[in-house]
Amino acid sequence: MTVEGIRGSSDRSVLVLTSLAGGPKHGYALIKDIEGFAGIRLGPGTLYGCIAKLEKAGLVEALPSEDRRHPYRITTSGLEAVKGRLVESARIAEIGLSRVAGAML
Amino acid sequence: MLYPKNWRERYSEEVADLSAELLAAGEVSQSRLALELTKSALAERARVWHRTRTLAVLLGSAALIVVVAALLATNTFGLGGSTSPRVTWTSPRVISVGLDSIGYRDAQLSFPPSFEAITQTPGGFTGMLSTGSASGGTCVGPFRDTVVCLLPLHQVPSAYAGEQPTILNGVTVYRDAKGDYYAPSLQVEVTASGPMAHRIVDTLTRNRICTHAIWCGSITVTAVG
Repeated sequence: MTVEGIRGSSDRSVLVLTSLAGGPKHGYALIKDIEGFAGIRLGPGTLYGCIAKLEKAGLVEALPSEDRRHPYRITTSGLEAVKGRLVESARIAEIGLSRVAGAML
Repeated sequence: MLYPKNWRERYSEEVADLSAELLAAGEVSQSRLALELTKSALAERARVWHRTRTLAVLLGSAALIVVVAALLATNTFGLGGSTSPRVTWTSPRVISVGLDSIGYRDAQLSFPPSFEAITQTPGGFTGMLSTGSASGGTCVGPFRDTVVCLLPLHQVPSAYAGEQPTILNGVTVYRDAKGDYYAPSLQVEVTASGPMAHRIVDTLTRNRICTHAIWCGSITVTAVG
């Protein structure tokens, strides 16, 4: 998954990258963080499905384990990828909001 | 166990640890956890299968291209690259034969697909089957390779004078000592020489490909000269 590739990827990958953009996290912390800022609760299978794809694409990387927790951090490529995706989403959101506002007048 | 092997080796321990932590914290029930993991495992399986299938399609396509190229190069389709001598003269039409029968007038012969069928006889071909005019002695051997000629019969050739009729595949023919024959009912004379000559001339039947034709054949036609 590249910067371009993430544009077509699931929102879950964006959520994971967005969470990791705030700092390295292990699985449980990721689930709680995403639930906190997006209101979406990922299961462990779904979360690791995303992590596997993102790690393979070089967008996240594993850090040494702490006890039985396994933290990950976002890579530079991951930051660029999620930034591109969020900027695009923000642009669409801005257009959408202005149109909706116009329609509501 | 539902997850693909590579995925399992890399992530199963982490997923198990996270699941245990979620269960311990009361964040999820066991049944819900089992359902979610099963769903994710199947999704991962499907993703791997899709990737494998795509790879298989690509490899299959590449293999097909290689096979077709090899077939073309070895002239299996009669489209070029033949190991047989090419025709160098210009007037006769030369045709690569894809099927195994040829019709001329009311006669039909069968022959190996590797044979070449031509309308006149230049001599020196490997596995040549000729139809048409014998003018100029073009079908007179000896030939080094197997050559079969189907010639128009206008009158009984002198070489067959005094021969007794025999029946070949239901057709009355007159043979000479060499094995050549003419078939008045089919309006042809058949001459042959070479290792496979008599196996071919003995396939004579009434023409089922076309009726009363000057020349025709159910063949793949590719003019090469």
